[in-house]
Amino acid sequence: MVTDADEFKGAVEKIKDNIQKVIVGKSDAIDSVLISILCNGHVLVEDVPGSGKTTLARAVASSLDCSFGRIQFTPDLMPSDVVGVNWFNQKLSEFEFQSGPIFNQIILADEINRATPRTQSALLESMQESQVTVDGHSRNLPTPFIVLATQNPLDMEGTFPLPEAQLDRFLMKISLGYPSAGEESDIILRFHEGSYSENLQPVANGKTIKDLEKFSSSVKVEENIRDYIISIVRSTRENDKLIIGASPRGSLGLYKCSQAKAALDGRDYVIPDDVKSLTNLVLSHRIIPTSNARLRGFGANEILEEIMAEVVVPMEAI
Amino acid sequence: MVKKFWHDFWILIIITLVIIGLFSGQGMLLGLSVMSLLVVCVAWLWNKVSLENLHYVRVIPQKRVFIGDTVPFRIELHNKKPIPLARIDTVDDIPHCLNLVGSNIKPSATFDAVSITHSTSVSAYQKTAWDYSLKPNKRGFHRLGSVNIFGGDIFGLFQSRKTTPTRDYILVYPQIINLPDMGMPESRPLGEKITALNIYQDVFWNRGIRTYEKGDPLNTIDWKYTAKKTQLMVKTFESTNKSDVILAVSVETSAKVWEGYSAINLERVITAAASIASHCSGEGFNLGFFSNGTPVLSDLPMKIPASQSEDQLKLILETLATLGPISSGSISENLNTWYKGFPFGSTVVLVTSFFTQDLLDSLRNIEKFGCKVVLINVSDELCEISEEDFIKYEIGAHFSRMESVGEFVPI
Repeated sequence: MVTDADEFKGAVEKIKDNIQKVIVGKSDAIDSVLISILCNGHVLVEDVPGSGKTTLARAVASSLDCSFGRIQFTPDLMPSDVVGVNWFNQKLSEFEFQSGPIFNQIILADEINRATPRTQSALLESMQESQVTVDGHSRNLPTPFIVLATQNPLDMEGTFPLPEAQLDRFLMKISLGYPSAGEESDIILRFHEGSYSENLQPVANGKTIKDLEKFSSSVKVEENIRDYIISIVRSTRENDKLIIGASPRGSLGLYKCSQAKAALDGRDYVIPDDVKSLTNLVLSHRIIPTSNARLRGFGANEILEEIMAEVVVPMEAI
Repeated sequence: MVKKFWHDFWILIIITLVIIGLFSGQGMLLGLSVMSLLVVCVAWLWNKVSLENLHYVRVIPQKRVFIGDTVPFRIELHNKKPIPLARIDTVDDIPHCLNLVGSNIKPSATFDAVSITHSTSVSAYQKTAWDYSLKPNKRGFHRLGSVNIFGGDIFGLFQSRKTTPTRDYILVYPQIINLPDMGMPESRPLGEKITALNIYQDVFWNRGIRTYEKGDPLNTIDWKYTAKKTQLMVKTFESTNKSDVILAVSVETSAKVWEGYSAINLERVITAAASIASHCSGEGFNLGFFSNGTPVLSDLPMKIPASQSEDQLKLILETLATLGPISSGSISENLNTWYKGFPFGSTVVLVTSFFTQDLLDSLRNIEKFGCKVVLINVSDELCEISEEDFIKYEIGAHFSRMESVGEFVPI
């Protein structure tokens, strides 16, 4: 049972240190994934091939003693390839359910935008309600249930951009980025013999995650910080450069992530910097810039930066 | 060299006076000359460090603009050292066509540019800023020139100069005009036909799986599901009627290269192409681009494969913004070389101001290949081609009208 912020920080640091045995650097990205897990949210990782997305997902699964499943999305992947299928067992003369890879605790949905919208939408129910329905029969998914989806930002041909409804179900969108020269050298020295996360030992389990999640949700958020989150989200809905602003699910996500971030930093209260540091990660994929804004070089991140510069930051009364 | 010698000659005089004072035993002369020498040393050191850790920054929040947009532009001078600067002069060249508005703007020695000049003093760790605005009126990729900074010591004895290299730029897109203003119909200007028929099945869009029926192609059989269900199952696909549009842009405006080019016709071609690209992007077509104009430091034509990507219009407008009059060869030769790479059944929209028989032959080849051709002539001279199979628009007169009322300025 986690009772204070220091204990929380210690437990999370232990997981982080374990992940960093195979992920060199990328401290911010690991923090983001852990925050997302502590908020029971899903993560969309957008980056170029070979940047460590799969390794990160495997390392997280191994560190948390969770079952891991990988789904490689392709244009001909069918929904039943993801959730499973009822098939007729001729020996028993009855239908049996053959579960799909979704029945794992940590799922790596690789190149999710290569599958057709039908298959992508098969993930919708599972991501939001942690259950799947096949032939009218609902089945619960194991807990914790985290989807780490990846998409390649470069290839556009033969891809199907994720619909807004599905993007909104991801708590965060992160990018790993290229390592620095020093980190790259470290990667070569550490992994030239091919050992990745095979030898990683679990340092936490499902119960630990539940405890951490419980503590994270008890972190104090002052009313003015809550108003600050609402102001940012509402500004996205009134901005001329956006077609669609962030949803209420976005404000809830930002609220929960700020709590987890504060706890991760060893505090039991949220400060405006927690909100600021997470706004782009939590909201950038939930907003859609207008065509005019995109032509003028304003992407989601630039517009959010503008909004944050305009929204008044809450100050402590002197 | 001689100038520098005479500039520093007075230092030699002070040193000489120190020596004379030392040997003649005249205390007053020695004291004054030593004091002067000390001042010179301090001034020399001050001047040496005056331009160190001095940062001149241009803050441009928006680097991609349309003609007529107003963009805020800020210049910041940040002294990041503990030594104050009594006087700093800066000279910053900005292209004239960016229409800089603000104070301290003077004519520049650089061609087609204006200078922003400032003389100021900056305290230790102080940041000074000046606000301007830009209202570009010419398409193109405009580089902002290097900045000359002049500094010196607090006594004004020495002066130093630094030229900072710069990578700042502003990309100005071509003007976009509504198609009806150019004399083209608002609805289906490229001759699209309304049809209830599905054109073809798109193998990228799976609709589902059903049992095999007589006549189904064998390559649609899903063997995995066939094995699971123990009967032949075939995949079905969504039908699509999305069409590809290839925008072909000719930068030629005269028969021979040595005849020069018509700047007005070139701007008309580029503006018309940008407007059509914007329309096609809005309609959701797979839009591609082809031009005999060449990018900088290359002699190859510009080609952008057809795509529905969010950034496709941006890419095409960027290309059009940078197009100049230099071509990689005639448009007819280029089309003959490349048209077999165009998607079958696509619509080729040729925007040009100059027609030849060779070009007409190339367009006929494209039509035979299975593409539809739309011709857009922006020149005031009417095109004499009377092909019934081509959709043809003469929009030169509409451009002339817009030019006369100032709605379009071809500079």
